[in-house]
Amino acid sequence: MPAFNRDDRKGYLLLSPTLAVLLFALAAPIGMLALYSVWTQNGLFLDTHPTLSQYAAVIAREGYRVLFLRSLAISALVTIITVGLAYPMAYFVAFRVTRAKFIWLLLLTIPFWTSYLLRVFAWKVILGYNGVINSGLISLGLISQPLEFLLYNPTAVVVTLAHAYAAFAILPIYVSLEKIDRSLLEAAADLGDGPFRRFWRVTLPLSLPGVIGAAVLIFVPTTGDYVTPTLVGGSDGVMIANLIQVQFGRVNNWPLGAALAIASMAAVGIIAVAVIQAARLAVARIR
Amino acid sequence: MAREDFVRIENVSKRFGATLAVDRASFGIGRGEFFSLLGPSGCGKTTLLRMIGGFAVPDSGAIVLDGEDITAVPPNKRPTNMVFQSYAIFPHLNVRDNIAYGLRNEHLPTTERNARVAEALAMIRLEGYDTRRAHELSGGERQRVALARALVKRPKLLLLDEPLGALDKRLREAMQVELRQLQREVGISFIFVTHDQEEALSMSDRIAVMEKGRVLQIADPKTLYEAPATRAVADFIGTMNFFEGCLTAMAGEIATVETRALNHLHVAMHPGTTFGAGTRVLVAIRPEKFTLSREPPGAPAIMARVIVATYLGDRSHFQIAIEGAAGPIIVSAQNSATGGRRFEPEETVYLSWPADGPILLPA
Amino acid sequence: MLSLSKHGQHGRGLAVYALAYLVFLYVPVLLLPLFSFNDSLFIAFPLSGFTIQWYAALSEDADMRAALLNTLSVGTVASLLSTILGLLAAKALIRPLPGRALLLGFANLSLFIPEIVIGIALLILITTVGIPLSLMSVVIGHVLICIPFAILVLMSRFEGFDASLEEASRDLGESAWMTFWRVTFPLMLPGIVASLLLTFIVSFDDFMIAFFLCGTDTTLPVYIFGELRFPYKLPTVLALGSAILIVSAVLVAFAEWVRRFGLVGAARDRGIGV
Repeated sequence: MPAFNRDDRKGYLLLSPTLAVLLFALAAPIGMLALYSVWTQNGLFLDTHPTLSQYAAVIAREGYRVLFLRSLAISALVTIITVGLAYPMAYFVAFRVTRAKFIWLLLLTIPFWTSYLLRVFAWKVILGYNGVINSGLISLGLISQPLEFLLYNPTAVVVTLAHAYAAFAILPIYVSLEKIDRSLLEAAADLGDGPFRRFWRVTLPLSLPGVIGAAVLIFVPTTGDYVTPTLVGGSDGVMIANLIQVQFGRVNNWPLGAALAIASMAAVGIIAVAVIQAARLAVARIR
Repeated sequence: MAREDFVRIENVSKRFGATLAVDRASFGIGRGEFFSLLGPSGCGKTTLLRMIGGFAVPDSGAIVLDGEDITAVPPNKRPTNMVFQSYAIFPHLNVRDNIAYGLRNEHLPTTERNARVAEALAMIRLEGYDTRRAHELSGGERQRVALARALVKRPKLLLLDEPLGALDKRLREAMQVELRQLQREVGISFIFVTHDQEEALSMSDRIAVMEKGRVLQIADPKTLYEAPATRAVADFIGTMNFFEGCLTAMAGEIATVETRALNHLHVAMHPGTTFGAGTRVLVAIRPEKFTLSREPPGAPAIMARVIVATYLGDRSHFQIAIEGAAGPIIVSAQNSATGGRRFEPEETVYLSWPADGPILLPA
Repeated sequence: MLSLSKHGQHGRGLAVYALAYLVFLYVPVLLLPLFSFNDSLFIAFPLSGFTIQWYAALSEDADMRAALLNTLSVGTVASLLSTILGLLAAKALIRPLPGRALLLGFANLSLFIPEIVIGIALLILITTVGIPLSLMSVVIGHVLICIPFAILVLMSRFEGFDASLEEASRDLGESAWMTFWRVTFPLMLPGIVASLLLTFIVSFDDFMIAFFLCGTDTTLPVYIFGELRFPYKLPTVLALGSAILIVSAVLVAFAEWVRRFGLVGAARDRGIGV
């Protein structure tokens, strides 16, 4: 145990109020959540004998499994699409914009901060049966009947989430691209690499931390997203969060809800770590 | 110490984790003395300075200033002031407010405060710069403002943490002269930290050479240059040639040393130093003490071969090889003295030195 | 503004992509204000004419006004608390502290946990402890999700901050408290303002946590979510949403400008180009 000097102790003292709040408002609740997940709801009475029956129920019911897999698949798809679309945009601002970077960044930042609820709602309005796309296409004479497949399905969820989380992807990728020392690219050029090889061998590996950060920032929250499946998912696009919310609502089975929440966090965590490691290994082999 | 020590550092040590940053430093500084802490980065000089200023607390030992133990006194209550390496000029205040900053807590009457600020501005020759901000000042101007801000508080001791490091060569040399004169005018003891040995030699009354937390030697510049106490000090101050040897005899203050490279020579020892017969020693000779010649000189000489000759205008530097020496010997010669003759690479020359040239150091 | 010449075709392609991306980002959102002025109950083309009746209807709606007031008060308190906590944490975490990486990760943890989980977990804790659900519980939840943003903004401000400025102030005779007021606070002010604004917006826009924790007093996003069930209320909701979007955008632009101005100021003061 290292001896803490005066500076360290001052640092911990400064941190203590924030740490206290975080312990009370984050660690304790999650702890309670874990506790609830091993209890059982018997009608109106909460049985606090520890049991893994909730987790067994989660794993056993096929409906739940399907829901889990669908949520994970949707999130994975959203992550790939969003990061893939955002990377060139971030690259553009980092490498091609010379003056007024601030304006570009501001334009890209503003959507990040505006109400998520409103952005999802905008898509509901756009994709609806009598919505913007359908009415627009009809009034342009391109179709005679409204398209039904636009809303209330997993595709709508994917499109909406990809749009809503776009800003989450741009900023981390931009930051890591911006940090790349330009003279590294000049050295690569000097040593004979053309533009594509320079990108593949220097830029991409060095921007990986940003890409991974963006992927995690998108994948983890989207699996637990409630608003989007509720507004645009319909019955086909139901995700885990809807199931969890219902346990805390009319079904009133808090232990099951807690178990679902913890199970989904665990699943997401494991997948995220596995993918990060795989990505790192793959990129490390780029010479 | 014969004189009364104004500042006493008594057995001060400080550890950071596993590293001993300062190891039992003990010395005294006189009233009105320009004292330098000199050494390579990581030697502990800045840590020691910060402990004197109150920004680090020694693990053991004491710091006594004008008879008062200030070891545990917080920095704002000490009669010391520091000029920081980055100058630390407050960006949100102008020059006048920067200089006056520390006077706010002394509760002086306004007239006195204004008088002192005006005096300080005049002293650093920045009258009229009152309302300028940090970003409108050059590096040298910022340095002077930092100085004025510290001196306006009339501290008993001024601490300077490598204040000239960020300036270009010409400005630095000008500032060295100015700082020295300022110190003499003001009469305050200065403790000056630097890694530049030329700077320390030119400005200081005395210098403490430090390495790896330990004080190796404290002396005035001339003594440090001519009579360094250890290899580390000799190596750090100026350039030095070292020859390994074995002490064979001692007659009074003259030692006879047997070396591979320079055969045997007689070296005058410092009064008070003793080496036992048969001990391994180092013979150190400054580059400018050597003489090169084409014909054998009268004095004892060694044959040598020139490897590299570098012309530097007023002087020339030569790297020469002699048998028995591990590496090349550096020789420095005034071009006027050699009468325009230049030695070329691969030439065979004679290397000689005066009797008082070599210094004896422990191995 | 763009150095395209040396990148030739690749450069032009990428620039087109960038503009298309911006269009993709903004157009769906800009449809909201568009239809909020549309004289029709249906959010569909073709447009039916200009009207401000939906905005007028907003001022009649007492429930909405109450929800707005709640949201404003929750936002103010949450932004103040999270900025103060973020300031203390940022100041501590900027130094090399043992366990720093772990502590920073813990402080940012709420970014990586889905909001529904935070919501239900807090719900469980608060009901177990026995506190009734109210705006205070919403404040707690919001402070939790705002702290990472406050820390992010303030740490980046601290990084441009010369540590020896505080030491210089101490050296010149000031106590720690006076040093904070005379040196630290004035220099941190742009960062503090930016943090207040951004955390306010995060709290203002949050739906999920307020949904679980607000009890009987609703916040604006929760109110809007409730109104979405009524098709005839849709245009009014659009008007409200557009107003919120515009205010948020202006606040964000201002916050970024302040933060940037603070950074540029700091860099300029230290003589570095930025």
